[in-house]
Amino acid sequence: MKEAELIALLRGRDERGMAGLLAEYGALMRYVAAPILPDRRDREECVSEAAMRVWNGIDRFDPARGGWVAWLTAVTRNTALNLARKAGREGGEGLDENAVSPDPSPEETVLRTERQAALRRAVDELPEGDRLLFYRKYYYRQSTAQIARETGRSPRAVEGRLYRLRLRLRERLGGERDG
Amino acid sequence: MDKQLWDTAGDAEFDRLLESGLPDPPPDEVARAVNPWRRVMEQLAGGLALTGITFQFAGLQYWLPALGTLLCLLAFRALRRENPWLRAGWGLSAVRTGAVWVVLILNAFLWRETPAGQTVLTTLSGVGLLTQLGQLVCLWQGLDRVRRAAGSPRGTGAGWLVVWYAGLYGLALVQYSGLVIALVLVGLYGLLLANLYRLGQAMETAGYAMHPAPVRLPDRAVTGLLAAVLVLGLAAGYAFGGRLPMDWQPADPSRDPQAVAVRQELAALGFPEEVLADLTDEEVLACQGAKRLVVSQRELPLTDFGIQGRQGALRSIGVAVELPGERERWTLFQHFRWTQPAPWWGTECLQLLPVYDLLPEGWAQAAPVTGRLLCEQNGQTMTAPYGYLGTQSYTAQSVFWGEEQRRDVFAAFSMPRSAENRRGYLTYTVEEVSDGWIVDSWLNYIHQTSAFRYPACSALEACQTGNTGLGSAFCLVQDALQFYPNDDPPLPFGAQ
Repeated sequence: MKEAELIALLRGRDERGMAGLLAEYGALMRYVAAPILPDRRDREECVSEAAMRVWNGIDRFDPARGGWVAWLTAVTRNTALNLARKAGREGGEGLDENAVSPDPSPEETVLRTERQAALRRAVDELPEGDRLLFYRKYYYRQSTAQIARETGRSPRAVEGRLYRLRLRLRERLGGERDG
Repeated sequence: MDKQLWDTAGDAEFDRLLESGLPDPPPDEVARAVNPWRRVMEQLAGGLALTGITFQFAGLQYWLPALGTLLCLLAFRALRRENPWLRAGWGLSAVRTGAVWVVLILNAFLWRETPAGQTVLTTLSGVGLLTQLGQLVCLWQGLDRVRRAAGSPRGTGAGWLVVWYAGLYGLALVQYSGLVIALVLVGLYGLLLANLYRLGQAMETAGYAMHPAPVRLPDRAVTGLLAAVLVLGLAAGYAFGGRLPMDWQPADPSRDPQAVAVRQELAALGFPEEVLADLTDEEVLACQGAKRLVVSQRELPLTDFGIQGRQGALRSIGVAVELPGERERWTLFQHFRWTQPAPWWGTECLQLLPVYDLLPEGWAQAAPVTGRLLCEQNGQTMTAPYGYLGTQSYTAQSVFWGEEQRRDVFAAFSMPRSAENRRGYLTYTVEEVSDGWIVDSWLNYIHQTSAFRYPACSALEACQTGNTGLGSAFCLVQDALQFYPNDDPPLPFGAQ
C-alpha cells in the first residue's frame, strides 16, 4: 500500500487504513518505541496506542510541516515517552502524542520556543552524519550500543563522536554570548 | 538568559536539555535515515551491483568486483544474527572474500602462470562463483524471513537476483559471446538494478525489524584490515614473486688446450672475441675445422619501433659457422649483450624463429637449441642456464596476419638486479635440405620495463599475447641473421 493511499484511507476513516498502517509501519513504530520501552508488552501497547492517536489525529498531519514518516515517528516516540513516564521509568516533561505542544505557562512557552529554535539552528548546521547521530541519541533515545550496531562502528567510537558533538553544541549554544 | 542555561548546565542537565529541546517532528530526511537497514541495504545493493558487471579496462574488472565483495561481506556481517539463512550468508561471504582476496594477491605473483598456479586460480574462481550464488540464495531466504517476521505483505524480489546471476554464469560457462548477448546482458543488468531498487523498497518497511549484530571491529577497521592484507600481498608479489628463479653459478674458465686451439682458429676466421669468450668448450669444439664464417652485428636501443623514453640498449651479434663435412651444415650463434643497462630488471624472454621453421624446404634442424646467460658480479663471471628453454605452441595475435597458431622457441629468464655486462646467447645447428635457400634466423628480445602490471605477466606471456607495444610494461627489439650461403664470401644482408 502506498503512503498517499494509506493516508487517504485513514482520513476517510476506512478501517483498511488502520490495518495497512500496522502492516506497513508496525515494524517502524516498534523500532522507534524500542529504545524507550525495553519491555515487549509495553512496546505493543505503545504501538496500539500510537496507532489510535494516528487514527484520531490524522487530520493534524500537515505535509507542509513535515513528511509522513517523520510525523509517525514523532507520534510514536512521544507516545512511548509518555508511557515510560507514566510507568515511572522515565523522568521529564509529558509530551503530546500528537506532536502538538502541551500547555505550559506563558513564560515556559517563550523560553522553550527560544531554546528549541536555537537548538534546531545549531543542529541544522551540523554535518549530515553528526546530525543523524544527534537525532538518534537525543530524539529517538537510542543507546550507544544500538547506534554502534546500526552504523557499523564500535561503541567507543560512537561515544567519542558524541562527546565531540556535545562540545560543539555547547560551544554553539552557549558560546554565542561571547562571540 | 537561555544561553546562560546552556553554558552552566552540567553534563546530565545538558543532555536533558538536548533531549527535550528539539521541536517535533524531526526533518523527514532524518526520520527516514534513522533505521537499522539503510546502511546494510546500501552495502548489499552496491556490492551486488559491482559484482554483477565487469568493465574490462584499467583493471576495473578486478577492483570493482573486489569492492563489491567487501561490501557484501560487511552487509552480511551486520545481518549475521538475524536468522540462520543470513548467518549462512555471512559464512559464505567470508569464504568468498577469502577466495577473491587470494586470487587478487596471487595475480601479483608470476607463479600464477605455472600449471599449479592455474589450477589454484581456477579452483578459487570457481569457489568464488559458487559462494556468490549461495550468498544470493541465503539473502533471498533470509530477507524473506525478516519480511514475514515484520508482517510485511510484499516480497523482497531477491529471488530474481539468484535467477539473474545463475543466467549470467550459465552464459559464461557456455562461453557465449557476440553483440546480441552483450545487449542482452546490458538489459539484464538493468533488471538487476531494478531488482536491487525493489529490494530496498521492500525493506523500507520490513527492514525496521532487523537487528544488526554488534561489531567488535568497525566496518572501517575491517575495510582497512582487508585493504592492508591486499596491499601487503600485492607488495610481496611484486617484490618477491615477479622474477623467474635462476641458478647463477661462477663460470668455469676454459682449460681444455684443444678448445683453446679451436678458439684461436675461430678468432683467426673473424669470430668476434666477445662472443667467442662466452661459449663453452663443448660448443667451441663442435666448430672445429670451420670452413666459413658469417658475422652480423646490430645495436638495439629499447627505443626501437619509435617508442621513446625507454632507457637501455643491447648489442646483437649473429655468427654462423659452416662446419666441415660433405653435407652443408651451419651452426648459428645469436648473442646479445646489454650495452646500456635498463632501469628495471624483471623478466626477459628470447623468441627464436629458427631457419628450419621459417624455411623448412631448405634447412633442417641438426642439433637442438641450447644456450646460456652470463654476467659479471663483484669481478666474477657468473653463468646460468635459462629459466625455461624450449618450444611452445600458442595463438598469436598479429595486426598483419590476424590470429594464427604458432610454434616458436622461447628462452625465459631473469637477470640479476645488481650485475654488469649482462649477456647471453642461443645456438643451434642446421643442415641443408636442398640447395639455394638463404639462412634466415630471427631473434626477438622482450624486456620487462616495469613491475607494475596487473595481473603479473612474464615477458614470455607478453610475447605470446603480443603485449609489447606502446603503453605496455614490455618492449621488444629484434634482429635477424640472414645471408645467402652460395655467395662467396657469404655476407650478412645489409652489410656494406
